[in-house]
Amino acid sequence: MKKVVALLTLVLFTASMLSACGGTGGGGTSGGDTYVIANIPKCVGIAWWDRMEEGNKIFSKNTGHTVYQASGDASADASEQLKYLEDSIAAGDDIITVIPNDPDACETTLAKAREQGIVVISHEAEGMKNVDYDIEAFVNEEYGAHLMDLLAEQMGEEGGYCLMVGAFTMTSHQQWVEGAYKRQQEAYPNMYKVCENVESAAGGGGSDGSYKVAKEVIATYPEVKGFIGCDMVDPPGIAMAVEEAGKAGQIAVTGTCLVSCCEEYLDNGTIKVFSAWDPSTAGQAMCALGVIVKEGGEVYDGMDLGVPGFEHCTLKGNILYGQAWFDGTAENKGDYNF
Amino acid sequence: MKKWIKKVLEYNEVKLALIFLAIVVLFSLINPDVFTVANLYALVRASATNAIYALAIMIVMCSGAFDASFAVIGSFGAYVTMYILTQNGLDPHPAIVFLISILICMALEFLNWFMVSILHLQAYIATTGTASLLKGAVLVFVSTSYIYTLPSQIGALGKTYLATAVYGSGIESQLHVSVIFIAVMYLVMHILMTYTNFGRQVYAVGADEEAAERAGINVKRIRLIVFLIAGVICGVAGILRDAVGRFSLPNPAEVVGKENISIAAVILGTGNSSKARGSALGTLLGVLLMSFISNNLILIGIPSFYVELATGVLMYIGLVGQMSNRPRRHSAKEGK
Repeated sequence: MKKVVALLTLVLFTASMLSACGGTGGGGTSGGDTYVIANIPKCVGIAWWDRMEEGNKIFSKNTGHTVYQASGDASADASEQLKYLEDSIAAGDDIITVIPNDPDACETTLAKAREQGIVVISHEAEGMKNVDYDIEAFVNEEYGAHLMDLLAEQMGEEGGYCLMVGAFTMTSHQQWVEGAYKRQQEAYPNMYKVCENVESAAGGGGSDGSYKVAKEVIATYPEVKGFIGCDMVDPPGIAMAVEEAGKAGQIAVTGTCLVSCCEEYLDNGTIKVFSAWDPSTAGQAMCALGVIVKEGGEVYDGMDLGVPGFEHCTLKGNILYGQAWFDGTAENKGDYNF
Repeated sequence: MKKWIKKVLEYNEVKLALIFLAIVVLFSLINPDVFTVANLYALVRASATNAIYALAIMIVMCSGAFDASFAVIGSFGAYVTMYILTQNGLDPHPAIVFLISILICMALEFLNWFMVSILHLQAYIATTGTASLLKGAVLVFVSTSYIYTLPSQIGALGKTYLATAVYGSGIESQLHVSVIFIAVMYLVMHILMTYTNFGRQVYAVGADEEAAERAGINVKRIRLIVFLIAGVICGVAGILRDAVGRFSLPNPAEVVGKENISIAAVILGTGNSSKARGSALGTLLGVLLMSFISNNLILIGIPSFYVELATGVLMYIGLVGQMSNRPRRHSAKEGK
């Protein structure tokens, strides 16, 4: 009896293997140039990744490739994400676009994927080894310089300003303020920092921390005419402090934010413009790059992925940088409603 | 006269007030803007939430128990309330908003009481469990999103100011309406703890549970009331945080994870003596001292990097300054 079961299992197993191979092979020949792309973000079910899924759909509609998004729920961790990567490898997908929770933990699995000929594109994961390319929305210093441009324009290119980071330990924030400061020194000689950079964490973190720190900076340096807040929670906190100081309209507030966080201040004009990047275009860029690599196309410095913000990419090693920030204002807030 | 001074100095609150005053004078010498009405208003606004949360942990600590979950409970109650209201498009009178939050928080503190007083679990462990349970539950079962548009009447409360003062530089500072909440709640708690039989029973339970039991005090009942009062306070503090901050989110970073600020304020106000006990006045001074230090370091020109360091150093000075209380209190007791 046991032998029969074992034999049956073997037969079934072989059959399924064969059919699986047949499936992939068939897909390759009959489908021509259409691929299956698995988009595996850190998690699913939150606004940010839902927005990326919108980008996947746009790409799918424009190109005919199949893109699906799968990952653990919002409370999931790195190991949950690995399961979805394994599933995608087992399903024989052609391209994987991944935003790893823990880049190091993904390396082994992604190496396995590449051995099977799957093209792997990562995002928000500079320095990964077992990927074909990593895509970043922008070079951090350039983004910082852009924030400074926004601020300088509102300040009439003169006066004192203050740079706020979420915490001094956040690498990306530090790179942004570095870029911003460098830009100011090069391009705006009539502007100056009223004080050393501040961190909203010192005020207890969150928007409340940003508020407290900004309020103190305003009280101490009444000549301050502008703020850049790096953390998503900073601009609303700073804006509240500016309003309470009776300085709305006189002190410019900008930085990284989202419409959902600062709509009130966009509407009343305390924040005229903020900057951020759009996961929708990042998702499209990953898919586009994946297809190019899969088809053996060339990836080079200055290439155009045909996605807004990724028209003139910078290649450094295996990292491709775009300039994919957008500026949110009261007028265009409907386009970036996330 | 000398005796009189000595007697006054025995009160921990007096000592703390003197330390506070010394730091204010020191800071004012560096930047005169520190000692202005405008800056006082800023201090009130900055310490509002902590001041009220500190009352909750104070009464629990006075009863000899502990609650590591008060900040999470308050935040949970407020967020769930705001979530329900905004999801259903409701905009009730602020009193009703507070009431919903208070009821949620009372229910959760009842759970704490059940674990501590009925199941006899170690209070710190049990309430830490409550805290992490709620922190996760709110994300899994309620929502992860920030609520930026509060019910309009709560939003309006957050923007209600009683007075405006101006710094020397012309920068305005507003006296936030939360000062009324702080004043009323501290006054009520002060009367409750100092002048009522219930207050004395709480201290008795806190000093020696067994002795209190033998003296005929229903310890379980006293603790139940204590935890329920803590629930009321948390419910108010949670909503007030949302109103003042103008948005609601699960586990706000300036509250959850910063419980030690409120706890430290209570301990500062309690004094170092092992026989010392918490009081509303001492807690208020403790909160004000801590908020004052951390909110005026930029004003006196200390770079942001040093804020945490300086806060720690000044807290040590505060605690060491109170140390001299210990022998004095002891001898005073012996003298009786």
